[in-house]
Amino acid sequence: MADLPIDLKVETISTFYGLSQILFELSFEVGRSEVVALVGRNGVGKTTTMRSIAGLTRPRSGRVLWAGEDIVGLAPHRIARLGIGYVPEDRRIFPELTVWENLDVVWRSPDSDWTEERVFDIFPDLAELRGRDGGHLSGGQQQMLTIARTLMTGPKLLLLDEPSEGLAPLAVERMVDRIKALKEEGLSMVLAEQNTDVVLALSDRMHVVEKGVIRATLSPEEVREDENRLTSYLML
Amino acid sequence: MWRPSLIAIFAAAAVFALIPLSGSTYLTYLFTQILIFILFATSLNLLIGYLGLVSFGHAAYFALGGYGCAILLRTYEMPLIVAMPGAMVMTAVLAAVIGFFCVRLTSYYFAMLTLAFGQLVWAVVFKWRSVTGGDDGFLRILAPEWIGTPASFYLFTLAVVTIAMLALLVITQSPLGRMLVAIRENEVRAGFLGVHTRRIQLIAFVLAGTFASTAGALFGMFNRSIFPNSAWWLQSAEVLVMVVLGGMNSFFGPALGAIALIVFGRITLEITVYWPALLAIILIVTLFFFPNGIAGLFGARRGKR
Repeated sequence: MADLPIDLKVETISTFYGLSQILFELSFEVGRSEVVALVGRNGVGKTTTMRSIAGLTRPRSGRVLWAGEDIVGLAPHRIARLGIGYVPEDRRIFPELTVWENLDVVWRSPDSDWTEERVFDIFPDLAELRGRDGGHLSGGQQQMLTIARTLMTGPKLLLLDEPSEGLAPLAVERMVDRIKALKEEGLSMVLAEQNTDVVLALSDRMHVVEKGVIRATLSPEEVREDENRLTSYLML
Repeated sequence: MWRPSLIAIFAAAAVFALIPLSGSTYLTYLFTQILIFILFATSLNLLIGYLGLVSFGHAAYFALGGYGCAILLRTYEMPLIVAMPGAMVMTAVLAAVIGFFCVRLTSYYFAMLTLAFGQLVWAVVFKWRSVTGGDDGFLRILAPEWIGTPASFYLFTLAVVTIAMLALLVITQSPLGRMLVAIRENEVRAGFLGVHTRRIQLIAFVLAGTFASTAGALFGMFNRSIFPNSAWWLQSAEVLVMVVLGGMNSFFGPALGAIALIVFGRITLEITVYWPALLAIILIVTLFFFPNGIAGLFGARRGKR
């Protein structure tokens, strides 16, 4: 990996859909090789936060600083080329392209050392399915392909939006295992997730999001000591 | 993976090469026209089938190629080896200018803007009498002597169309082709994977226009004349029908559509004057029952190239 400074600072962003305000001056930071989780119920603004960082929904105010540069207003492809990879929640693969074509179709950073071989090392299941149409993969395989495809762009930071959503428990276990492998590779991540087990397994820090603001910040140790601290926020 | 398509192009070229041996000038003329429209329709499918953008003004580039080559050949007395590529380059530049505006819009708006620019090209051709001949057309286009007979011009057309079809196949099977499919499936998705979608769309627009201009240049020399109606929207509609009839989801679909429309049109017109009505019925049946067109009957399905 190139030694670029990796540091995401989300500073007081407010994002709207039409007249509806979703994020209210939301702020957080992600350090180098750190996995920060955004936890919360449906509709609290986790996906909107991801979309605001990825350039898909422009915040009306506030800044998103990536390696010191404000990236608000940049087109999504430019943000991707700066090293921020977005893995959306609904496993948006290209169903009519094969696994290999899904990996090949992305823009590749010239200084990226993510090759097909390296991606297949992380996701060996995909190597066996390289000729199969994306639309004919299981949910877990599609999720792996979505992450693998994003890796091909050579990201320094991954935005993982609900990676466990809709997956069978065994598929979730495999997916967590693979994301851990990416963490060991030194990738920074923002993880939006409702599954407490996944969050505890992966994150270094977790922000509880409620009604578009961060209500609390917890460490995995604090939650492991007293799981009620997290579940009380989530009202589970 | 695309070896069967490559073999199909060479096999088709070999079969087409036998046409002059029939000794029939009628057949030679008919198949020259078919070859030209195979290229024209396949160039349009780069936009419709691969990129998912419907152009109603593709005839503009066909006409620009035709007029450009004709003007360079007759007015400036340039050799064919300069005139034809020259016309293609000029069309590519104009397609880049027009495409710059068109790819900023999607769906119906893209279709309407291409129609508007197509009609603008028609109006310029129609009014610029001193250069284009206006509604009298641009006449006496003389191809070089070595392609002066129907058979030699046919073989020249076959060679050009075969090379162009090979180039289009390479494009559709390249990373660029895969990006076009990705953008067609979801432009936003392609965008956050780092693909500069607008730039890719513009490249496809220019390529489609350039290949259409090649077909137009051949068409002008074939008819020894070219008229403003080659840029008229009905010409765009005709090639669009070829693409839909043949199947926009397959590389060879538009070629099959071009063959079917021209051959069936010729046969039907000898029997009845109601060919347009029959064509309308064929189109309705195709759209309702065979959405993948003629190519779909042979097993080609959406997304398979």
